[in-house]
Amino acid sequence: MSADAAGTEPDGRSYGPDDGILVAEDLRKEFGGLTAVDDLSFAVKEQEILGFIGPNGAGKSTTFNCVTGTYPPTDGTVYFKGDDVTGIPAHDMVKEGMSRTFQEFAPLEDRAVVKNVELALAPDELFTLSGMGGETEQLAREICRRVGLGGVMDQTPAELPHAGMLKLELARAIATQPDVMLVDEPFAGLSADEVQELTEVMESLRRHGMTLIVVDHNMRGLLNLIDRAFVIQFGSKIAEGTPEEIKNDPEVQEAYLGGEEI
Amino acid sequence: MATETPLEGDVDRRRRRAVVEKLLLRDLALRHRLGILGVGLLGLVPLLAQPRELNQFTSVLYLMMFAISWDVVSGYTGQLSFGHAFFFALGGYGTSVTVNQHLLPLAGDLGLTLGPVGTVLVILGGIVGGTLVAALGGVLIGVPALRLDGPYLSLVTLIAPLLLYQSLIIFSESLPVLAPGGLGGTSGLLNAPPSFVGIGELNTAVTVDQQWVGAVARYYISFLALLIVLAVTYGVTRSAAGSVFTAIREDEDAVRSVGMNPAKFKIFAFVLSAAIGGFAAAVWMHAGPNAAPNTENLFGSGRINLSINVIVVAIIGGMGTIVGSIVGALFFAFADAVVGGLVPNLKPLPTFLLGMLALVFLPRGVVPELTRFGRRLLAWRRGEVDRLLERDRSPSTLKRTAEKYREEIEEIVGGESR
Amino acid sequence: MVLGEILTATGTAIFRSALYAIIAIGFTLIFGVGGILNFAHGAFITVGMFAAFLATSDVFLISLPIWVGLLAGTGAGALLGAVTYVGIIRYVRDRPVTVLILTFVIGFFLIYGIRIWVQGIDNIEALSIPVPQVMGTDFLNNVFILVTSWLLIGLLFYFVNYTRTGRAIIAVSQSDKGAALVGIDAEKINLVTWTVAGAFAGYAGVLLAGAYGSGSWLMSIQPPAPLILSFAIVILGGLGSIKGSIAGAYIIGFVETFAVNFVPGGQQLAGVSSLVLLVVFLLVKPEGLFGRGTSE
Repeated sequence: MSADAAGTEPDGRSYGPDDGILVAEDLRKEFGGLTAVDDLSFAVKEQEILGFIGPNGAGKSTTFNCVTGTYPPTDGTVYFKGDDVTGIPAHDMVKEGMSRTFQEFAPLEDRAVVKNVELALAPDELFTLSGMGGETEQLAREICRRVGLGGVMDQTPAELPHAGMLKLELARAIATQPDVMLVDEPFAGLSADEVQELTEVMESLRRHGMTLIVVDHNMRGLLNLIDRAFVIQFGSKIAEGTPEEIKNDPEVQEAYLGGEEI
Repeated sequence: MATETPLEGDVDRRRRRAVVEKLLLRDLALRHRLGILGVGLLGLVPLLAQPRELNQFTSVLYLMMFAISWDVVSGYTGQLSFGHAFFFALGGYGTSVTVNQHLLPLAGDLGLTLGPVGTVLVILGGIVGGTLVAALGGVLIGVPALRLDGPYLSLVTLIAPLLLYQSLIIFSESLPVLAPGGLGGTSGLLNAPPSFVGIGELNTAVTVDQQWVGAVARYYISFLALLIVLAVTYGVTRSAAGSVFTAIREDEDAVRSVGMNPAKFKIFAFVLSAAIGGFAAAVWMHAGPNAAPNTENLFGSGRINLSINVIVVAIIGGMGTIVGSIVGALFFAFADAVVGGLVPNLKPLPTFLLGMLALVFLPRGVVPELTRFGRRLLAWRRGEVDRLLERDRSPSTLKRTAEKYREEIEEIVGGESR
Repeated sequence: MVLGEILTATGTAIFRSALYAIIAIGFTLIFGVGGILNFAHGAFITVGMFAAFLATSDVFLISLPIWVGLLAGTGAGALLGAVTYVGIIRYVRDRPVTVLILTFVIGFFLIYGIRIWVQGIDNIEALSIPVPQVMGTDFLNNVFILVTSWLLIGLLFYFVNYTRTGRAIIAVSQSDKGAALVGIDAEKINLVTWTVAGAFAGYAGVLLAGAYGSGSWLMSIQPPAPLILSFAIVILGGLGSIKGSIAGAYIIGFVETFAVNFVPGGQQLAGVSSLVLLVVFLLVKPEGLFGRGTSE
């Protein structure tokens, strides 16, 4: 299968708002003269774990910045749960039910891990009794335990190892109770055990009803986790399918030639 | 919902019960109990002090409130204000104009003679007016502040009181509709507004015949204002909104990524800060010693002194803690009094110098340092050796705010590292 | 006749702008080279004024002519700039927040020091410190200001574009490390810059006080508020751009003169227009007219 640069998909479909819980149609993002995302379309099915793979610079982060509201796309439409949400700012997207983790995580250093998670549980209101009864803290602790931060939740982020920071990112995103969560390069720098632990957490989240999109530039950690994958390069989709199909796709292999392991 | 929650049962009822329990002072940390003790002690001051000293103490109460006002926006959300006198002046002039140029003439037109109760009502009306004017000022600064960073924001906050000062001169004779009697220019409004208590001068609500009684009454009225300010700021900063404020100071993007819009909170912080400052200034005009609506009082000498003092007081006491402002004000006033006794000609330099030294040696501020010291003391007494040995590596609020300011400067100045 | 009024106002504006340009240039220099916002700039100006006062009054028993006062003011400013750099700034110049606070504190101490000193002098009010004009009549004085303003700007341009030290200043303003690579001593350049900037400030202080009749310990923020004016000019013109500062000075000078003359009740707007323009630019176009970064 080969991709057409101008927007028809490898399987010749275009997507409509009800084709999945999250749908992007002909998404385009240009920065000055540079086209980072080139008429990309995809649909994410509810409660699936989708992999979004591509070499560095392929446009993965840009695509998701557009989708999650960090900045609006130059052109194209984003549908979430059937509604057009193109260009809605990030904090409103979170309220709609889409959260993400950040590669360059920057937790709040002035407070403990559990307090970081508590912030994510705070309502967007000026006057609230929330937090006064102690349930917010309870909930935050529960979430910390769920992601594996049970033993360190009263420490400050500065004292966490790399894997711990990642879990904190995950915990913060989970605390916003999203329906769809985007996880950005979660496996970077983790040992095999830590990868396994994280995989189990994400599968547990999926079992509880969440849809997950995992973005990464190499498939090593993803294979066991994802149901399906898209591969993009130079801002366009070059392959789509199960991990097996992707691995055997000639274009994907070419894209990764001499570069990452698959 | 994708995640299960342990939120079962009637959440609201549990919250209400929790608030009530807090109000009844059960289950409070030691430092909170100490804080309440401290405030209680403040309430007992009139029993211990002479009338003249009492007046000085009363002034300190206002310095506390002003510093709290600064801390609410600058200490908590990290939006550094360098001209907070803007809000104090709005409050002080606001109440004076409301009372003298609107409410009293209105009473006159309606043919009312105001006894003590009437005068108090008028005064309260003035205080409300002053607070509202200051709050409006908070909006005026808070909205543009969203678009400005670091030093640009500081410049705007520095200019605001200067512009206000000039306006007082420009409109000294009359400001149509809002202040038909004018704003008094540099010497201030000629007629001070009525005070709550006085000894037989015209213009008071309640007349007493002894200096001492008047001084005590003034102290307690000011103390009541402090309690109100404390209640309001405590309520806000200890709620979930309070942790959002400090989160904004640390990292606004983090706040957005968890679904909250920082703009709303930032403006609110300015408005709240302005209202508190204006309220304190307004009460001062009616209850304080040396209460006169003029620029020397409300801006400080040189148009900037009061703005600078509140910054020093709040930082010395501990940025981002409400109690810090109280302690800082006490220290500052004490230092000022001592210095004033020793080298009166050199004021305000030695106190300022002491302030700078305190910043260098106690960068976290008195209250946080004392809290840390207290914890280590407790750990030592309980034999928790490892707690004693652990060092608090997290940087102070001041340091983190300075770091963020530095990043903002570098973004503006641009260029590579020098 | 309206045309006549406009011509007179234009003339006044040109004079005023020339003075404003001198006021702002020292500030721009320090910013362009060191990236430092020198909060003590207003204090340097005040010190220059005060030095001229001391020279021309009989405080030290001898009263010298205003020319000496002018030199004294300029010299005092230069000395102050040098000492501030060598004594304090050079140790902290990579920490912008510390520098900001320090320059503010230095300025604070300087102006309060002057106030305290004046309070010890009989018959002189700290808010009204007499400094004579350089020339006999107002008109001649204005011409003097105009001529020296452009002379100094011209010299500065020549210096910065055609001399080794001057070009070194540009190089350092772009990059310390790059400058070091070609053998330029950034320390020396910064010292020269601060000294020159201080001299400009002192000079401006004497002229400003003379033109307004008197100086005051608070003159940095009393209309025309040279400290704020400098910020306004530098931000309008674009941080670090000398060309921009001159443009900024003239824009503000003209706006102010025309506001004062043609807006009803405008007298009291003097000194306010720079504040208002600054706020407007901060909100609308904070990078100024000529962009940002380096001086030309």
